[in-house]
Order: sequence, then C-alpha cells, then structure tokens
Amino acid sequence: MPNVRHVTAISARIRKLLNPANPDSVAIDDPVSKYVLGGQAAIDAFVVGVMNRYPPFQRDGLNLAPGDVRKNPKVYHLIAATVRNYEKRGWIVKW
Amino acid sequence: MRIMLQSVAGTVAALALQTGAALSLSKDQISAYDFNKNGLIEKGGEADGLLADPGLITEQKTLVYFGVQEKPAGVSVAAIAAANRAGCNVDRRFRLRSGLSDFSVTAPNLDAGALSGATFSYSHDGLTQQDSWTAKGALFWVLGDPCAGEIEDRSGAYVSRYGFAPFLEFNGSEVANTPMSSRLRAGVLAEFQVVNSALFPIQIFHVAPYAMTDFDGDANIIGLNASWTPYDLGLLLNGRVGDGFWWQFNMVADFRDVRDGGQTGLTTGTDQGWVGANLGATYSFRPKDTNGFYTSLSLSAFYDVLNSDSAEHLTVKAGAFLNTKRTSALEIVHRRGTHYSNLTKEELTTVSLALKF
Repeated sequence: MPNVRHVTAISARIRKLLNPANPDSVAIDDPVSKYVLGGQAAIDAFVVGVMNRYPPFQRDGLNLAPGDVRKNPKVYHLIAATVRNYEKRGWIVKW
Repeated sequence: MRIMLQSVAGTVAALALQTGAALSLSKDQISAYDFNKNGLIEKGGEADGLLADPGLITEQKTLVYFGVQEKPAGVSVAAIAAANRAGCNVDRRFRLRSGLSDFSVTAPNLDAGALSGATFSYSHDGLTQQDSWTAKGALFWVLGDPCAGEIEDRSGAYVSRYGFAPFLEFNGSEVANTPMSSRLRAGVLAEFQVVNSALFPIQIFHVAPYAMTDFDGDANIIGLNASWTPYDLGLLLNGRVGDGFWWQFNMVADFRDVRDGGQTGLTTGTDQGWVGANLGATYSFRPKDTNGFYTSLSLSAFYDVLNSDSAEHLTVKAGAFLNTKRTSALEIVHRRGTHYSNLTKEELTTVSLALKF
C-alpha cells in the first residue's frame, strides 16, 4: 500500500518554512527570493538544508537536490519539485 | 573622499535561449479551456477542465490548483504557459559585474552580489579643462549548461551544479588628465557547488587561473584565484529566511607571479601569495508599506604568505529598495583601507542607483 500525502499539506509546510509568522500571506507565484535572502546559493541551501531537514518532510524521506528546482524559483516551483520527489519515491500525492 | 554616481549594473547584451518547456502545455492549448476568452483561467469549469488535462506538467498544475483559490479573478493563461522547470538553463550568457568575486557562474540571474555592478564615471572640469574617468568591472561569458544533471545517489556529498565562464576584468582611472594604475585581467572562472557535506548544506568553490596586464599591455602577470563560500541558513551564514540579520563569510587565496608590473602598481619580479577572508554582517528590514531597507558592514583581511605583508579593507553600506522585487536600490557605500586585489589605499563614498537585470 503506497503512502499518501495531499498537495495541500505539502504546500502548507513549504509556506510555513518561507514565512513562519504568516504562512497564509505567501502567494503561489511569489518569487522565493522574496523570503530567502542571499542569492541562488542561499535558495539551494533552503532546499537541501531547511526543507529536507524539516521534521515532517524528513519523516517522509524528502531528498530534494538543488537541480530539482529551477533557478530563481517561485513558490509553485518548490511545491511542484516536492510533489515530483514524493511521486518518484513511490508516494501518491492527492490533489 | 569623493562622491560619484555609479552606473547601471547588470547585463550589457544578452543571448536569449529558450527555457525548456517541451513537455508542458502551450499557451494555445491552455487557451482552449479559457471559455470566455478573457486571458484568465477561472475557478470552476475552466480550472476543472484544465486540471484534468493529462498534458499539464506538475508546475502548471500547481499554479492552477492553488492560483484559482488565491486569485478571485483567475490565473493568467500566459503565466500558466510559462510555468515550467527550466532547471539549469541559462537565459543570458553575457554578464557585467563589479569584479571576479561578484559573480556566480551557476546562478547568474540571482547571484549574491545582486546589487553590485560595474562602475563607469567621467567628469570634465570646465575651469582647468581637465578630464577624469574611472572604469571598473568584469565581463563574463557563461559556457554550456551549468548543472550536473540528475543526481541518483543523494546519500552523501555530491556536486549539484558546476559551470565555467571566461572573464575579462578591468580596473583603471585617469585623474585630471593623469593616467593612474590600471589592470586588465583575463581568465576562466570554474565554479562547483557541493551539497550535503558534513559541515554545511551548500558549499561553493571557485577556481580561476588568469593572466593580467595593464591598459597599455606592458605588464605581464599570471596567477590563480580560488575561493570557498559555505551556506547554512540555520547558522544565518550567507543567507537567511525572512528579513533580519545574517553573516557573510568566505575565504580567498590569490597567488601571482609578477614578471613585469607595468602600470599595475605591482612590483616587477615578485611573487605574491594572498590568503584571507571576507567577513561581514547584513541587516535587512521592511517597515509596512515600504519595499525594505538594508545595511551592511564587511571587513576583508588578507595576508601575503610569501612577503609577510597585510591588507585590510572595510566597506559600510546602506540602501533602500525601490521596487517590490528588490531588483533596484538607492544605496550609499563607504570604502576605506587597502584591498589586497589592487593594493591601493582608498577612502571613497559612493552614492549609487543600483539596478539588476
């Protein structure tokens, strides 16, 4: 029986990491650089050092690489790359 | 101390490449679901129909799925068509920056020196009929597609991105019709990004062999520049999430063989081996109804291991972002001390309109 995760849960986790104080204010098409300061390498550090190590994602086995997310991404690029990573590892992502 | 206006940074010319969206739905295909032809996919029948299309890639699906919930008017057809991965493609090859240390080969669109640019200034004194000018910057040409490709084994450390860029760095001036020292440096910058090392989530390594001369072509110098920059947002090291305080740190080594110093200001027949670090702190904040402000202080401290010489340089910066995307800013910069790269003592305040594009 494959594991199941809803895309809304994935989105909520990412928005919380980007803006812990007000995750609902994070728009789907906001550039990630609006929340992560320090350039593209800092965004890569967010993907592998913050997202992969966030306990709810870590428990699910998330193992994103910087190249999985397009450069200068928007929020939906982060969510889509995460969805693709879940599916690649055999999870079912519900919409 | 002198005041000058720094010129626009960014890209002088560009070679646009298509960003790969081969498997995504095209604008025409998406428009087929825009039943009222207003250029927007709206919640309800339009969005439901589009979301059921098997040709929609995950990025497009995500934008539509959440976009119609967040935007009452709907999501632009053009924005959905443009939503693709395009992970490692370079959209422009030719870049202009303030110097070799101010560029990322693998991420030229969003390098950390986002608001630094080349400086060109010219002034004419009508009373004495004397001219003064300054030119300082570096041109880069990004080669290939700077990405290591799909990473299968992610259990240990791996190289996630790499890239190469030939460069031409220039730095010279003439004050009151008198030529000052000048430098012209050409080489190839290689960049490697290492992920998941034991110490830091991301590390960037730069290696750049180069040849240097002066603006007249009289000097003959060869050298090797290398740097290491670690990133850890948990330690606020070279980045952070949200506005606030963070550190900048990197280490640099620069070895030179000065066969003929020419007009570079370097001494003929000497070898130099500069090793040092750049340490800085930045504070960024955004009061309500503004685009945000930033202030930073950075110190570079270098030691010539071959000649027991030292060079220290301090930069203090404050600025205000002029747009919500933070691609332009009005900033004031004060530099003081001797930087190892040019060994020229300076005390300079610059008011800049900085643009990134």
